[in-house]
Amino acid sequence: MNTDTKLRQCFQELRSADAQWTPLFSRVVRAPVPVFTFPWLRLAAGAAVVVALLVVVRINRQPVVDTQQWVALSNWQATTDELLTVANTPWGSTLSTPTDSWIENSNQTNQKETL
Amino acid sequence: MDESELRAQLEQFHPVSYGWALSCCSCNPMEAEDILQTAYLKILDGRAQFDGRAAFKTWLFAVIRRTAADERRRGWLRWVRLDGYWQERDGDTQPAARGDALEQSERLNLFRTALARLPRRQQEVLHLVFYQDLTVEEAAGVMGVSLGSARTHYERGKHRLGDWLKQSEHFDEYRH
Repeated sequence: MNTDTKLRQCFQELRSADAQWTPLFSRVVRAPVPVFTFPWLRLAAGAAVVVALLVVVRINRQPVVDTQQWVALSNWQATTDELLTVANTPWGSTLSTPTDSWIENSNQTNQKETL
Repeated sequence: MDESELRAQLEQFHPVSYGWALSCCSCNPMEAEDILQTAYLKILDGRAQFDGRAAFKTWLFAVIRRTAADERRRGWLRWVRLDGYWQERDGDTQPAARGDALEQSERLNLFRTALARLPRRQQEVLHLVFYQDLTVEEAAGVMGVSLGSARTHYERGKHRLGDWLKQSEHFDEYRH
């Protein structure tokens, strides 16, 4: 018995077995078709969800402007501003530092050397 | 061809169409019935039209095959909607019930399993030739492949299934 004949016999057995389970033609044609929603409706719903997500992300990304903080910044003053005021006083130049005497001494020495 | 003629033709080929639909969906009876129904409706609604270039049976099988392929592609979508989960659960119970009735012919189930292990194209061409009695050329038309390609699938499938038959203890009568 060659392969073709063997296979044909096996397939015929299969065919006979399947025939017992074949549903009636009338049943298959009349069976209710599964209801699918209109594809455009799904597409529109999907697009709406995407747009909503984009809007939410965009809103969250916008920087929050605190106007109260903006006003407070214009009134801000550095704590060292007072030092600048002291430097402009007329007596500021008359203040002596501990090293002034060194400068005076060095001037006298220089004069002697010149003489 | 008007609707009544189409209906008569479909009814005539219904038993063999069911066998082919079973082969296209890994022998799941529920799925086969769904595929067959969708294919019939496509034909009766005029979404698939017979142009007379091939025999009606060849054309019908090609429509069933395309419908089964579409259903497979939609499978992932069904999973997303969780429909697939429930259908699969229901489907799981069906072969068991079928298996109970076929206990006497365990060898047939083994043969079905061996056939299912072959690549899809090989399964298809062997089914069309040996089960449906089509020529390899007609099978190529149904499968939408060239005659050369169909011949290659046919030879390879036949060789592999023949080897399996020789080795299987359930098919002693086919051993040399």
